[in-house]
Amino acid sequence: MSKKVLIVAEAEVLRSATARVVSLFDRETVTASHNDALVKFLEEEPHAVIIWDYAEKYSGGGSEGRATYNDIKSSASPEQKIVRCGFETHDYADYVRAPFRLEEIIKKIS
Amino acid sequence: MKNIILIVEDLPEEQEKAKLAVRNAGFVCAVTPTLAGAERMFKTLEGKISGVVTDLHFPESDYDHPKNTATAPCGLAVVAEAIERTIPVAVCSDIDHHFAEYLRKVITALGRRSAYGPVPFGMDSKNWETAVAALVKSMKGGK
Repeated sequence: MSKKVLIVAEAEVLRSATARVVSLFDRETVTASHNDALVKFLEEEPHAVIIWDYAEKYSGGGSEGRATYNDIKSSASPEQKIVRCGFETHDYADYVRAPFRLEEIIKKIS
Repeated sequence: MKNIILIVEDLPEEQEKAKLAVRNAGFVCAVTPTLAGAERMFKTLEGKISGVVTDLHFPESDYDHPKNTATAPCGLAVVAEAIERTIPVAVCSDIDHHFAEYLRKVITALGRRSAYGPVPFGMDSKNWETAVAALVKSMKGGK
């Protein structure tokens, strides 16, 4: 599997900024909005996925980031690293609370 | 991209078996454990799903709720949605065949509306390789 990283966020500026910093660590990057995320994931077969906008305390039961995480996580192989990012506090091993140090997220996808 | 087969199954160990069967058959695999996830994937993967293999009993919603149990036969809704969208579908279930008569009748009735003929319906023990093979046969034999 390639060292490709898929970055998913609703805001284009967040996608491109995350892609720019991840590429500094010698990773190929591709980006997608939540709407296109699953298709891109199945097409690109990335080594890792960073999913922004993850939230559970959201009126109506879930955020777009949470739905994207559920869909990609259940479709992923065990070798693919899936990381969720948001502003809430959670204890999940694959969750990173923003703001975070760059090394923290690189460690999670390595 | 290779053609996608959608798997609807809530048990992680069964999901892994299903993924292996789908990949060995030469397809890309999308998996969801709930009816809500299946409905979402029918939309986000519109026009890209070549076939569906579904379990029968799994939760309706993605999120925890006292009424969100895995005892309802949500797979019937997946079968109906696939047939409405003209997508071949098969059922992979471990339901005891002695207690499956009402399900068999519903699935048989739904299959009469399918462009691909009767819906393959495996029961008693889950065998994803058999279910995927039956789906692929059904995909090739569409009316």
